[in-house]
Amino acid sequence: MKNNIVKEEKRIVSMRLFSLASIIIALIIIIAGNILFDGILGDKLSFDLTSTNQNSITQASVDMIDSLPQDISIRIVGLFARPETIKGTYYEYIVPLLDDYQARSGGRIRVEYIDPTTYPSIISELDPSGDNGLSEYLYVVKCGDKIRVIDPVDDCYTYDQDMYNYYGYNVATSNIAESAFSSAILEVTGDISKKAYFMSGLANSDSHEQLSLILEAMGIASEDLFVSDEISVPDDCDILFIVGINSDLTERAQLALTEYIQNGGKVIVAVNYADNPGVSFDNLNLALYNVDLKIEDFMIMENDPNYSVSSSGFQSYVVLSSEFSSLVNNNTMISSYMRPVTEAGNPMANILTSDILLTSSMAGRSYYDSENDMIMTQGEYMQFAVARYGTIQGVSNPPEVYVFGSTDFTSDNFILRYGNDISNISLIRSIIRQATGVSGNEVVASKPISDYSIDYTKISSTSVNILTICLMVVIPLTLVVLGVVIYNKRKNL
Amino acid sequence: MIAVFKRELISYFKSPVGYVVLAFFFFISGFMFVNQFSSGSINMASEIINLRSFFVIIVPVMTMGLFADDRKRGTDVLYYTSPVGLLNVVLGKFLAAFFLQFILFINVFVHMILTAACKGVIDSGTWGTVIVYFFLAALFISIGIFASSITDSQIVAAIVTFVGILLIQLISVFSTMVSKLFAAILMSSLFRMESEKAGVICSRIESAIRWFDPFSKTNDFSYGIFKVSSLLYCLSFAAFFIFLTYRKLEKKRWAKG
Amino acid sequence: MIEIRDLVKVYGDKTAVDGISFTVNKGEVLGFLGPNGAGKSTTMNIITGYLSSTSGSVKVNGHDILEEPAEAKKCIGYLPEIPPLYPDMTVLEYLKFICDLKGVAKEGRKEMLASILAMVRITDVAERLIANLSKGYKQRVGIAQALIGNPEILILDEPTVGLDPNQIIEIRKMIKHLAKDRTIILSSHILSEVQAVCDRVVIINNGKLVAIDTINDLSNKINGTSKLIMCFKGPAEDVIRNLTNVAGVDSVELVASEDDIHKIEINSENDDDGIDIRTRLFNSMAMAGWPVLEFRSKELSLEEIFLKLTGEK
Repeated sequence: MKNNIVKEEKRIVSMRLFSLASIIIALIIIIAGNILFDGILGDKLSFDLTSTNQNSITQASVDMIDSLPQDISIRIVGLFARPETIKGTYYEYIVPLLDDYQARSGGRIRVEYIDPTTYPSIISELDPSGDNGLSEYLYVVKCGDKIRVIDPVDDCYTYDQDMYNYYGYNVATSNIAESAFSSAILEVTGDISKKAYFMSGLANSDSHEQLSLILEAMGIASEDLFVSDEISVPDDCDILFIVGINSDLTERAQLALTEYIQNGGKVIVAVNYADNPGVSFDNLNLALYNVDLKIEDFMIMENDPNYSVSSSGFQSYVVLSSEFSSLVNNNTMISSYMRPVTEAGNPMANILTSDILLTSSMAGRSYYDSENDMIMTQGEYMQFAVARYGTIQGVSNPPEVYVFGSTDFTSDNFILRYGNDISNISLIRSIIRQATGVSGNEVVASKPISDYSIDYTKISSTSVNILTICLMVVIPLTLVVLGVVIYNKRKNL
Repeated sequence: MIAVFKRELISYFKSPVGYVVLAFFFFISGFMFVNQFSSGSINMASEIINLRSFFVIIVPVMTMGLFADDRKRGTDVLYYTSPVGLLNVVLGKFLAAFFLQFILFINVFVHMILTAACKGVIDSGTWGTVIVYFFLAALFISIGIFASSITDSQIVAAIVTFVGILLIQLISVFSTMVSKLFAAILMSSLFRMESEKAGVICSRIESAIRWFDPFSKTNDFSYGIFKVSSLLYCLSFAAFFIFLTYRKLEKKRWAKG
Repeated sequence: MIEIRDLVKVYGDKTAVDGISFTVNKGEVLGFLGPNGAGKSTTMNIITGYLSSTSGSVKVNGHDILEEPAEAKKCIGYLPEIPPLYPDMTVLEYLKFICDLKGVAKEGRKEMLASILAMVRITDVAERLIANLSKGYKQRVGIAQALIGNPEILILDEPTVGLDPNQIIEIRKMIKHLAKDRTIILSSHILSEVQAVCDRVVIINNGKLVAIDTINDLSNKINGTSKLIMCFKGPAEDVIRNLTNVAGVDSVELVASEDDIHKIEINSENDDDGIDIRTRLFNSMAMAGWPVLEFRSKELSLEEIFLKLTGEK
């Protein structure tokens, strides 16, 4: 009998052992398997299926990263704890994108999130000089001693300027996080070889931060050149921008510019009419005379309905001339408040000019009449050049001057509204590339942000009411009634 | 398996339970949809994510009776004494509850069709959340089934499931709390640890706890990143709970009492 | 057909089944007799695979229930003590579900269901909800459930418990009918029920096997002694003295008395001369002029039978 009981116990004990062991082994296998899978295949088996690849870096960035030296080490540090929920926040398109940078960098880029409140020394570690004013909620891209700071709010999105100006809302229109980080990486890895100067101090109405970013992405650093009495264009200037100015050059600046052009300088000029009606750029034109270019004092009004975008005719399509059409795929661009750029009548034979952008042949002139505070239009339809190119042939170092009668190719306002991959910007990029000779990385296009709005014509109070009644009253109630009926029917079977 | 699946699925609709769950789910999701619709922008992904927070109510109702009721009525004898294996029985019941989720989801598909008809966005993020929804449902249903197998009271089973799902939903909150607690302990006079060191340790602890959070693991899906490893996590733990249920039922045969 | 060897089942500290061995032959009806809590249900649960034994083995048709559960279970139809019914299904839905569960082939299923319904006589309630059926009908549905798949062995745990006498008779008839081409194990705590339907009886008490015998042998053993109860009017001492002297009477005990009405219990020995002892007792009373108000033989309780059986061993 005792034997029997021992035998009895044996079976129970072995059953219990088997059961417990199988559960524990299963648990271990599951956890270990998950960790292993996560570690080995986790990155390989995650796919970005967004239509715009918001969360993956584009080929341009991949190429850029691939061109970096193998032994380089770049840290991207977010000065905050890795955000848990990113949906609907600024981090939505940044956090996964940075993970992709890390995944595709072959170990050269490391993305970290370190909260300076729990780990305060990170700030001095990243920025020993303290010049960059690091604080919480910023990203820092660091390689060697060079650092770049990227603000997830300011630097990674473009916003609808009208919404901001009129309503004070920040409505993001596109995601430029990738171009921000890619150009930061380029900058800190020291691949910047060219320099651009922006002439400043001339009642500029518009900033050029976006253009600077674009230049940076191409490996061109930008700096301001303040108009002073001693102004001269520095020797290291590879390209000079005179964009968005609303007053004429000073005499001194005109001389500096003339000298620069004569010495084979590369210049991009862009002014419009709306910001400076009545201003005539005499000094500027004097300098431009060297390459036989002139900015006119009136505004173009487009009369061809196929070209006109706004009913007033002040915003319209312009077409790339055949000489430049190879630069951009799409040769129709949008532009507004344009001044025509014409030939200045310089008789020198070795000057070569050509049109870049043209209106239709039905464009007219218009003026701002300051006395009556109204726009006057003036007869005679013709074709105007909105942008022209001028150079001097047969010299060892020919100047290249590009003059735009519109700021819709350079201004922050425009880039922020339309994104940096619209054909206007492709054009300016190609021109910069042509002028400076940078092979240039293809700039990372901004990516439109998902917009969940629906066809508003379908939303009426009737349709809302119908949906409310159907989805929230009729269907649930029908189900409840159906349930009660079936239950009662069956109950009495 | 099919026999059990068929019986359980049909039985949802023979009692008012199935209809009440359906009506509740349809009402809630309808409310969310109409709300978004009237504001002129419909983000289906956010509707689905919001609906996930109702797992905590719907899943216990769906799973509470699956085994608890059988034990109470004595019908579990059928499963033990018929030639089908117990594992098949567990799978059959699991699939029945899972399929009910599909029926619930018809409603969301209708919303998606309406959204598409209004030229709204149905993008990869939306489909990502749909996939995640079902994987999470599988995980929670398996937990519910396990809870139902450990008791013969439906109420107890429902409460256990409710608490279980609630805890899982709060993992990220807990992880922060635990790490803060550890930070306080480590930096207290007892250990006198430097704040940075303690911070590193605590963030390790936090991320270790968070590793178990199926929600944060699958977050990426809602913005269009499909991670196989997160799905594997849900699936493997669902399988684990099903296995646990099977072992629990099997235990009844040989346990001492 | 069924071979049970050294079956032991331990629950906690309690040994519910303690080393039971017996075999059931093909085609016989085996009664499984024992008081409540004797281990009948546990044994049956082990045979059907609901529980696994702590030690010992069960072989059904040569298949060990632990090693080849699917084959073994296919041969068995089981009606547990509480019929495993889903109250939210109709009888037909329920039986169809059981068909699916047992993997009964689709073809011929309709005919099989119809014949089972007819056999257990529930055709008229086939469309009704199980929750709304009376206890007797529920029991029949339970039996119908066990019959599905046409198993060679039927195991019925207390099939008549809680039924009214008419229903009991019905069920017994049904079992007799089913026994024609099946092996049946039937448990009960009522001797007469086992006597009525079984070929052989296994008696267990406190988890131990007490007796295993054919019904005839058992009846003889039990009927070897009998107890009689008599109520009469008259002087108790005189009557007892008088009756003790009647041939064949072992002892007489006074059980109860009220005024001059008394109740006595008479233990008697085997009849040697073939004359019923009751005749002599009646004659004796009648001669003395004491009126007999009640006179019946007392059924032995199971415990007494066990005592008797174990005592003789």
